[in-house]
Formats: sequence, C-alpha cells, structure tokens
Amino acid sequence: MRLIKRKASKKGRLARKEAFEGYLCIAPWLIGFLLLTLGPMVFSFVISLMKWDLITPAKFVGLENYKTIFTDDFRFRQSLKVTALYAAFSVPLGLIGSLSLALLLNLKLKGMRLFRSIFYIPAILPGVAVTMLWLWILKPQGGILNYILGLAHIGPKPWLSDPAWALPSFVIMSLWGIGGGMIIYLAGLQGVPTQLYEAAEIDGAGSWTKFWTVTIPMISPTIFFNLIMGIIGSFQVFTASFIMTPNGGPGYSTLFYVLYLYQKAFKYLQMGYASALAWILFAIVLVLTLIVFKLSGRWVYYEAEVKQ
Amino acid sequence: MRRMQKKSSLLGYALLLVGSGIVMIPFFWLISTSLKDPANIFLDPPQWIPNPVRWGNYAKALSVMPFPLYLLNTVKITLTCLVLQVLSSSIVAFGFARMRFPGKNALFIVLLSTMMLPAQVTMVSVFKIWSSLGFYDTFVPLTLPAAFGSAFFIFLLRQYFLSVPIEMDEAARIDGAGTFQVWWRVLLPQVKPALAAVAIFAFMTHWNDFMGPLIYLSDPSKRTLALALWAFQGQYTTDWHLLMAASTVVMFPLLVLFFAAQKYFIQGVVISGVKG
Amino acid sequence: MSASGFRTSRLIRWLLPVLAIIISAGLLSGCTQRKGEDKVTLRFVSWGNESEERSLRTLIDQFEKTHPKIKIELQITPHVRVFDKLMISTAGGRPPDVTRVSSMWFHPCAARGLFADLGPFVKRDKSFDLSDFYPQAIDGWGKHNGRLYALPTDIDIYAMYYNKDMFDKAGISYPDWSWDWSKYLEVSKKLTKDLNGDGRLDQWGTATDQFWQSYVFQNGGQLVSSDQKHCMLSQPAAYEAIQWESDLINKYHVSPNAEENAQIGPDKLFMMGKIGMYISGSWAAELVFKDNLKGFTYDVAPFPKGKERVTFIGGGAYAIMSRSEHKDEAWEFLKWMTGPEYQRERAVDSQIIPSRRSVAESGAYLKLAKPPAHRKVFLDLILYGKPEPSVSVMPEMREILNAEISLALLGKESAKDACKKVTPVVDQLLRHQDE
Repeated sequence: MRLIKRKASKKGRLARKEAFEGYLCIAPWLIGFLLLTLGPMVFSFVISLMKWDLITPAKFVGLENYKTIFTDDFRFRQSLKVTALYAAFSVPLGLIGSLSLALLLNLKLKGMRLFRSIFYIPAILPGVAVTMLWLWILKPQGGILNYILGLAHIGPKPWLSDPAWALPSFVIMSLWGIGGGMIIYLAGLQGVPTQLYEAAEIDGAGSWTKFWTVTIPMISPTIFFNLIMGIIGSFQVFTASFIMTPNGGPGYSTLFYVLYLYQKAFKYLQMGYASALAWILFAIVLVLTLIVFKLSGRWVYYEAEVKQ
Repeated sequence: MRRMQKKSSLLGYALLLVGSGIVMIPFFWLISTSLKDPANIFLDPPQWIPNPVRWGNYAKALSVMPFPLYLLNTVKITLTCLVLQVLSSSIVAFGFARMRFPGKNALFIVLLSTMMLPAQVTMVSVFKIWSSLGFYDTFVPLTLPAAFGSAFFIFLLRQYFLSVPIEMDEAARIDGAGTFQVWWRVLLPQVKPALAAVAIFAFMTHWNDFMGPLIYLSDPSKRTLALALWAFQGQYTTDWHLLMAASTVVMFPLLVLFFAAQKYFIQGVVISGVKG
Repeated sequence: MSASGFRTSRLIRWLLPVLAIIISAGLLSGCTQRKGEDKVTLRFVSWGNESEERSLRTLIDQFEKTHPKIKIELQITPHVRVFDKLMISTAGGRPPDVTRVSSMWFHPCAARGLFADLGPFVKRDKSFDLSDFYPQAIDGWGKHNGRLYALPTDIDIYAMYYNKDMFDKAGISYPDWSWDWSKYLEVSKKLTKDLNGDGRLDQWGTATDQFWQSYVFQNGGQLVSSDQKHCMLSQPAAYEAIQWESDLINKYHVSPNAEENAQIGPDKLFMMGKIGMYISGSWAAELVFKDNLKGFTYDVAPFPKGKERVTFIGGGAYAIMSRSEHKDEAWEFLKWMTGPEYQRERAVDSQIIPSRRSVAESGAYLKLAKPPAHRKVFLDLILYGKPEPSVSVMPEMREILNAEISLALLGKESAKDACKKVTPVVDQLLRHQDE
C-alpha cells in the first residue's frame, strides 16, 4: 500500500516535472500570444470604444464608432465591396489557374523542374518590388500590357486611372503570382497514390473521369486549405493597393479593406475608429472561415488517419 | 496509346512554354527598362532590347539610395528574426510534439486558430504598446516578436517532430539527457531540412515585409530595402529606368537565395500546404 | 546518437556567440542614443528632388559652420509621405524637431497641436521681420486660428502656360488679363485640331487644371461653408463649375480626355507642342519644362477669370514640432532656412517664388534670363490667390472629394450627381472633425 502510494507520488512528481518543462517549452509562444495577440485584441477592443489619436487624451464614446461604421460610413461599405469583388475573382481564378498549372507540371516530362522554378519565382519576390514592376507594366503610357493587347487588336485600357479597370488590374497582377498555389497543388497531386488511377483505369475510366473521381477528391483538402488562405489573404491585401492607389483609386474603386483601415489609423490617426474596423475585420474573417469549414464537410475528402 | 501520350506531352510542352513566356515577360520588361536610356522609355512600339545599354542606371539608382546601409538594415532585421524564429518555434513545437501537460490540446487549437487571425486586427494596439515602451523608430517592434515563435512554423515543425521515432528520445533520456538536451541534441539534428525550410520562410517573410517597417520606422537611415524602394518611388515617380533598376536590385538577393536553396523552398511549401 | 550530439555541441560553441551578435544587432541598433555630447542634434524633415536636396545640404553646412553647437540631421522624405510621417511619428512618440510643411497639410497638423507656437519667438527676436512675408502666405499656411505656427518660404501659384508658336500660327493674339471663360473656350476650340486627318484629335486647345477646386472658386463657389460645418459642393456655383471643366474635356473635347491623357499625360503633351494652353503651377517652369520642352517658346498668362478672378495658391513653410526639446535651436535654424539669401538662391536656380516680398520683387526673381518672359504674372496673381480651406480634416476630405469628382471629370457621371453624392460623406466627416 505504502509502496503504491510512493510510486504514485513519484509518478505524480514526474508528471508535474514534465508538465512544468512542457509549459517552459511552449512559454515563448504562450507569452507572445498573451502579450502580442490576446492582450492587444482586448486592448484594441477597448480602443475601439474611444476616440483617440494617440496624441491628445482619449475620449470614451461607447459603441459610437461601430454605429458610425454600420450606418454612416460610405467608405466602409465601399471597401467591403471592393475586397469582396476582388476575392470573388482572384480566389477562384487563382485556384483554377494554379491547379491547371500543377496538372500540366505533373505530366512527368523532361525539364519540369525548370518550368516549376519559372512559375514559382513571382511568388517569392518582395511585394514592393513586384508592385513597382506592375505599376510600370500597367502604365497606359509606355507600359507593356497595352502594347501586347494592341498586338491582339485590343484597344488601350486606362487601367489604374479608370474605375472600371482599376480592380481588374489588381486581379491580373495577382494571377501572376499563382505559382505559389501551384507548388502546393503539385505536391498534393504527387501524393495521390498511383494505384487509385490504375484501379480507375481497370474500371474503364477516361482521363476526364479519373480527374473528377480520383484527383479532385484526393487533393480536396489542399484545395480547401488554399481556399481558406486565399479568402483570408484577399482580406489582407495591402502592399499592392497602398503603392498603386494610395488614396483608394478613382471613385474608391480599389479601396481595399486594410488600406482603409491603415488610412484611418496611421494617416488620419483615428485609432479608435480603426480599431473598430479591425474588430469587424476579425469578425468577418472568423465568419468566413467558419462557413468554409462548415461547407467543407460536403466536398472535402479526408483519408482515415493512418497515424497512431 | 503511345502516340496519344506523345501528343499530350507535346501539347503540355506547348502550354507550358506559352505560360512561362507570359510569366517571364514582366521580368524581361523589368530588366530591359532598367537598362534603357530615359529617352527610349516611352517609345511606341516599345524597345525590347535596350539600345544603347545604360549600365549607369544601376550606378545611379544605387547612389541615390544608400544601398549598403539599407542592405545592412535589412540583413540585421532578417537574420535576427530568422535566428529567433527558428529557436523559439522549434522549442515550442517540441513542447507540443513531445511533452505532456494539462491543456495541451486546447492550447494547440488556440495556436492553430491564430494562424487565421489577420495581423491587422491588433495593428493599432500593438503600435501603441511598442511606442509607449519607447521602441518607435527602432528595430525592436520588427524583430522581437520573432522571439515568440510563429504559429505556422510551430505547426510545421511539430509535424516533423512527430515523424521522428519516440524511441530516440527515450534512449537519450536513459542516457541521462534532460528535456532541453533531447530537444537540442536529439530532435533538432533529425529535422534539419524542416529547420532549413523554416529559416527560408522566415527570411522571405521578413525580407519582404513592408507594413512593419512602414509603420515603425521613421528615420530614413533605418529604412529597409522594401521601404527604401517605396520611398525611392515617391521621389522618382516617373524615372522608370531608375525605378526598375532599384527594383531589380531589391529582388536580386531573393533570386539568389531561391536558386541556391530551391529544394528547401519547395519542401517547406509542400509540408505546410498538404498537411494543412 | 551521442556522436551526433557531440558534433552539435561543438557547433554550439561558435554558433552561440554568432547568434548573440546577430540578435543584439537586430534588437539594439536603431536604439542608439548619443549621450554626453554638448551638441544639439535637430532632426529635420523635408522633401525635395536631387537639386533641392543639394541646395538644402549646402545651406545646412553653412548653418552648422556658423552654429557650431547645432547639428542638423536631414531626413529627406517624399512629398506625398511627409504628412503621414509627421502624424505617425508624433503618435509613436518620436517626432522630428523641425519640418518643412506644405499648405496641403499645414492646418490639419496645426489643429492637432503638432507645431510649436512661433509667436513668442517672433516677439522676442528683434532681428526678425515678419512683415516682409506676403500676407497671403502667412494667412494661408503660416497661421492657424490666429496663431503663427509656420514660416512660409515659397509660393506656388496656378496660371496658364501657353505655346506662343501655336498662337502665332493660328493668328490668335496671346491670352491676357482680359480673358474670361468664354473667350478661353472660344480660342480653345480654334486651336483643337486633327492635323493629320486620321479622325483623331492630335492637337488640343487646352488641358484643364488638375486642381478642379480652381474652377469652383472662380465660379463663386466654395468647398465648405465659412463655419466649416457643411460641404458646399451641392450648390449650383460649385457643381456647375465642375461640370464646366468636365465639358471642356468630354463635351467640347478641347482638352485631352482620360484615355488620351493616359497615353501621354497633359504635361508631356504640352511639352511636345500638342497643347495650346496648359494650366499648371508656377513650379512647372523649372521642375517640369526646363530640360524637356523643346521646339517652341512658351509664356505665361493669368488663369482666365470666371465670375471672379481667383487662382489657387499654396506653398511651403517651415515649422517647429511642439514636442521638440530644442525649440530655441530650432528657431535659429528656422530663421536661417527662411532667410532672404536662401530664397534668392532658390529663385535664381529653380524659379521658386519667394515668400518674402523683398526678394520676390527684386531682380533675383523677376529679371531671370529664362522663360517664361512674363513671370511677373505670377506675382500679380498672388493678390487673387485663394488657398484650400483651413479645415482640420482636409487631407481626408480632399481624398474623399477627389475619388468622386474624378468620376465626374472622366464623364462617368454628371458633376451634379457626383457633388450630391459626396456632400453627405463630407458633411459626416466635418461633423466628426472636432472630436
């Protein structure tokens, strides 16, 4: 009896020691999470209830910032519209583009490594430099895009200076970077077991059927991951919009959400208002993620966990 | 069957060639413009091969912005973040992969969900915190957060640690190794490729970071390359030959890194993307 | 196993110090604080192109020589970025000591208390004479709510550059003070031509002012009410003026439209000799035309008058930041930077209109041997100069207005609709400005 007790207490001591060391291991993240994520989130909610420029004393206004945003802020609605429109085009187009590219590169031909590198490079370069380059490509005077379109007998477009063409310019630019998604799909495709294809062939499936019944279900988790990241990513577009159209473009046609948030915070020093916008951003991203997760059960195919 | 395969591979090549052509045109245009004489920039039809070739554009661009200083700033910030990131993310990942403690699963879910949290949500309050501590216009707000690890890297490294057989830990513990020795001596050497991938990702993220320096750095002598390039554009709005030369220079270190460490780049993406 | 462990530990021995150095470099550099120096360092923010930067540096060198206890740290920042920088750095707790300000954001900064009151310095300093400055400049972007917060250095005024050769060829007499909107339109129509007969215009009578507020002012309109509580663009005087500008482009086609502008840009078109009358600021003569305008001679005339003669006026100034700990030294520097010597130099090499009457009306500016010949027009127009309203939310308001008015100027909607649409948005902004 005593022996068991001592054993148990020793076990308990060991477990306590392990738990202590475990907490020690994750301490960097935990501290960072508390000080740089959770704390600031609470803090930013408090700020969102104030009018504060960080220079003069803050003034508590309750929910007024939220009220103004939802009832009397033209730019908030516009920035939501711009961001949603951008997401609605760039996410599916990017998804289709990068998946097609990955399928092509999965053909197992010679020289694929080189092609893979070429397509991947735009995704790793600094956003500022890439945006600078596209600013020049899109330039109606001297830019190369209008010239190339001209070769195809398409008239010059004013791109960033026209409300109808400004947002499409951003979508075009985003499509240049589909190599990032392509690499992920390629990995997903290479992970599809060949037996599955063979089995499908025995059943007499053509390439089209194989694609829809084997490939797509097998890489659906990857598609799902990219979809979520794409949606979240389009709500975070900043560098390109800030450099190409720092004021939100003609008729606010490229006033992305984060650009508006940045302007309110760091240009006009309406920190309370900006914090309210930040919390709304948080809510939007949360809801979107939950929706995508909920819907994912219908089409995302998970292999039974083999591990453990 | 074989003929069909040949046909489809020919078609594949054709599509890939066209596609890579489209992807490469902007690069070609970048280099071409960066070497042009200002008088030839707005020609119609455009001049593809610069004539005359003006290497001096690079000298000019580099002399206008004190490139060595900005490079040094960027390197300082990037390397610090990289080292801190690798160390802290790996120890945290180790904790989640190997240690047993109450609330582990819940905390891990919290960690995963922070991946979905856009940084902009806490931008304002974090700015206030750093500036109250007197760190505005220093590198601290850009580098110190790396010491707390990043959810994405922690997640990635944990996956790797899980694939290392637990027997290795046990053997080391029997030899008298403590927890931190197990982490440092046993597990880290086993996941070198993952560490390399994390290091490269951290490098890319911090080298390319724009919003951080934009918000926190004020003194021009502290600018990073990304910030400097943007300031350069504010100054030389229409000097496209210089802007393109400067952009090329800022892209160059990443291109070198990419070709030197392509394997790890791709590996990093693969692990993160597929398992996600 | 243990072998690999040992290898790692040997690695640590040199790795750790290296890591420590890297980390401290990244964390600590930028925190450098010089102590124990008896020199005062003033952080000074300005914008400027290369030649401006060069002359600034020369001036600073001279200042440092005569003021050995003061060191100036020049921070060149792009013009479009200075406002943001002043705001962020003040919020961040480390603003500069002295800054160059533009009339475009003087009032918003002053309203937030970013600048030190210069009144006491002027009063105390007998060597300084404020009456030498143009009152339009002092009132426009030197004083806010009756207090002096900045010393103007230069004046930008809008006028009409014209291509003399084009007028000669068409046998039309040059524009002068008698011109009004209808005369301007009439001549513009005459000068607009399709020279090569391909069905597309390739010569335009004019290019409208990018600064659409000019037309509103000339038509007797206002941006905001005098109590600054309401947007006045929904008044006919305002939207009719904007419609008139839009008509010049989209109805009479006497000014290149967005698509044509997008191809080349109005400034380049003028320099290529394809535009008869080009409305722009006084700085354009040196900063834009100098090396690029070839093949014809140009001159300058006043902006044709509408119901009233008004011309947009703006400019630059110098201010001391209210949080500076070295205000006395900063005042010395301010006096130096706004002194007559420097203004003379800037007038001679860059045709910048001095804010000091004594310099502007001296030969230094008026007798320069380079175009435009009738430079005096600029000085005479100062009397009719009207700056932007001194609203504290001006940058945000300007951004909101431009986003919508640009659609009217593109011909995408009527000026009336644009103005009606934007008025409540601006009203909302003005309501919140004092909070």
